[in-house]
Amino acid sequence: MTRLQRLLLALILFGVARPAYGIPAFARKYGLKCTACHEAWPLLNVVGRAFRDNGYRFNNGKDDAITTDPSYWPIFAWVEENYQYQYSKSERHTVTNVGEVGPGFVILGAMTSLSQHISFNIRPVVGFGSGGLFFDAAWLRYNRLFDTDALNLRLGQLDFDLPITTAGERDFTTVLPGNLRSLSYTVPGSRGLDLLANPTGVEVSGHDRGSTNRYSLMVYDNNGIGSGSHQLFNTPSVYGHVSHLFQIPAGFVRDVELGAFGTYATVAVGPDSAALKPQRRYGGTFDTWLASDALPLHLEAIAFQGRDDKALIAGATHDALYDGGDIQIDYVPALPFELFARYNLIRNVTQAVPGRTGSFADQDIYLFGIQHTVEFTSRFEWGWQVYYALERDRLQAPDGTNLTQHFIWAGLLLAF
Amino acid sequence: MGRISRSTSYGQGCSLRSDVLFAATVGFALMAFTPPRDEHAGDPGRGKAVYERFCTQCHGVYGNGAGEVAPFANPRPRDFRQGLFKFRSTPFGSLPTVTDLDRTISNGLYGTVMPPFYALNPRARLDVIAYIQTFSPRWRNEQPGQPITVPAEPASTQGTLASGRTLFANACSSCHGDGSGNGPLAKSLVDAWGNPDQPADLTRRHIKTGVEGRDIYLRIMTGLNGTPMPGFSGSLSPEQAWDIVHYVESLRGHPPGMDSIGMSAAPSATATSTRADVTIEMVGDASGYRFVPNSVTIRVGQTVRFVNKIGGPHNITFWPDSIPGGAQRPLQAGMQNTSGPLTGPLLINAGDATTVSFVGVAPGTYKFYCMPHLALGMRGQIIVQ
Repeated sequence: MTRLQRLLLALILFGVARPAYGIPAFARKYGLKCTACHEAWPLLNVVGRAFRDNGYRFNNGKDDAITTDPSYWPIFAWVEENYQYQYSKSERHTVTNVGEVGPGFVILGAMTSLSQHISFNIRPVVGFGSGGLFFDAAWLRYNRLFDTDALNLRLGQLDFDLPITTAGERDFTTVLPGNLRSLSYTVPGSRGLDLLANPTGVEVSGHDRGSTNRYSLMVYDNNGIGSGSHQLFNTPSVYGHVSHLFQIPAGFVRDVELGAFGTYATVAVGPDSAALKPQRRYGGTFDTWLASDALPLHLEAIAFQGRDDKALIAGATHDALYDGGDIQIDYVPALPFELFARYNLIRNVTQAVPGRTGSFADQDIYLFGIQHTVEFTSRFEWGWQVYYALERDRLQAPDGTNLTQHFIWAGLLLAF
Repeated sequence: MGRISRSTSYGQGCSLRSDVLFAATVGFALMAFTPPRDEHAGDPGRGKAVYERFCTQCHGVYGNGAGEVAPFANPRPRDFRQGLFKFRSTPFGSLPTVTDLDRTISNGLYGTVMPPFYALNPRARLDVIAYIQTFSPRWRNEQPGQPITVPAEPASTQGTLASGRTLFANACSSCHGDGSGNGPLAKSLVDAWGNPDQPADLTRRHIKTGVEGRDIYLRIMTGLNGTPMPGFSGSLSPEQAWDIVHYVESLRGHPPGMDSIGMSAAPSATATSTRADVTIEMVGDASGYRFVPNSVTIRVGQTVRFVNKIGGPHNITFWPDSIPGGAQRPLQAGMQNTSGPLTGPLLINAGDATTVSFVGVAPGTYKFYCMPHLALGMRGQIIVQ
């Protein structure tokens, strides 16, 4: 394995990956097990989502700092270590064949609501491999602006209010390399626009009781992706998400949620970074929970279209246009276990660079996994997860042929 | 959405649009063709899974209120096995309605570790209620009580506030004191499970079940089963209850400093007494809470008079499952001013009394207790020959 390959692997498996665990500090604060808020740690259920939308509050008179046990501290820790194996090949030869103990991480974060109006989250991450330190999230939230749930203000380094299974804090599988999700797809030669990353921004959000109707509107800085300037909001961008939950009164289908999301991001280009060129992602989501409220079969479908301005792509004569989406199934047959599977696809509609085959960089990813939370109490939880992913990238091998990649990931996770 | 017009070497022409359409079609087909069920009944089988996910950490796997968090919770989580539920719309001593339980689950209990679960699908809440009902045999042997009607709230005036203050002093201050829960009995109170049960601080804005006058009205009239807080539906008129509500609302944020309230010497308007064959005194003093005597023997057709001697409020409730078969109806008919099934009126003041007639009942042993002081061992029995 060459140094370049190791570096690429580290970037994929750690640099792009992000933590996605439950917050045992909340369990300690409220005396609840993780299962009260998570379908399966850390995918949120309806109770957890309502709690989140309320600014990490139940509004039951036990939320504020003054009403909690003085010995309680809103500190939590996540520790993760894993083994990864990657095998990739073109149509002619092997490209990568690597297996090693992956660079895990540790997080010592703080997250809670202090009063009816103030909540916060600080999440520094230290990588085992690199020893590097960065902030995965750091924000302050003002809850119930004008005393209504319809207006909440959040600012800092934020996560996008994404479709359910893709949201950073909701999906265990976001510890996967980001490029295993269609929402993280990067048009070859263009700038990345990773909706699974947490940009700096300001969010206005709102919801009704039970979060059956909810919205999020966020203005953020798309800076840092190739821009020459690092002034705040020199690349202003907007993101929005609305959704409605139908609680079905009878039958096999328990709940259905429909949503729409989109972003218009800008990237500074040109010698003096003066020109702003857009990247767009617009789409819809369909979620349904079947058979059971406690142990549901959760199906989510996401479909979206991406467009990158031709100025962002070397040699482009047209805007790059592609369709993307995924279908994910999360199933909890019994509380400690979760089975999950996902199919992602990318289909390029318009190639930006002349001469490229229409299907150039099309992508299909199949993923299957199992998670077992070995212990989950109102104090801590730990478990393991194994998944296998098969990725096929059209004409993306170094020799110009189709690239087929196999990933195996096995990890241990402890959250306290 | 853009057009996908070409196939790939490995994608077999898989279209994003067709994937989404397929998922949506499957979802809505399932919605459309699944036959409807009677969802008001709740399914205890599904409810068990809901319970295990959301409830066991406090209420325990077996519904005994002994989950892992219980030792740290104040008040302690409910033990479902006795079928005693504090927050109801039904009379003191009776079972709550499904709507009552759903309200508690949806809204949670303010200031306790019971969070709100309003975000859950209503079907899930009905399912878990059905499962909770499997923990106590009461649900198989009894029907929920008839909900108490809350009349329209009258206007609050100086006169009603003064009336409420007097009624509060007579009926409530022994536990609630000046409203802040500092009554003379406050530190000695325990609930039916033997846990210390501090009276509510009514000077705070929020009681456990809400902030509205209606919430306070129901707590006054229905009481809190399993606690020393009795229901006053048999001893207060709706007007009197509203007077107390208005007075309690006036306490919020303004402790009135009722330092030296004496108990009213006036007898309760609802307590009555008749000539009886046997008299049992109801006593609460430094020696404990008890019936004196706590066991008597009578003949069919005789009457027993219960007198509040000291340490009230007291009442008498017969265990429905420890009286002879078929005796419930004639015994209920023989009780005065009942506030629930086999539940006599609350005797607030010393000297208040109620009489139970044993005409037409079957011979056997009739066990009874004082609801406010059950946990303190205030029980007795009447042997009918």
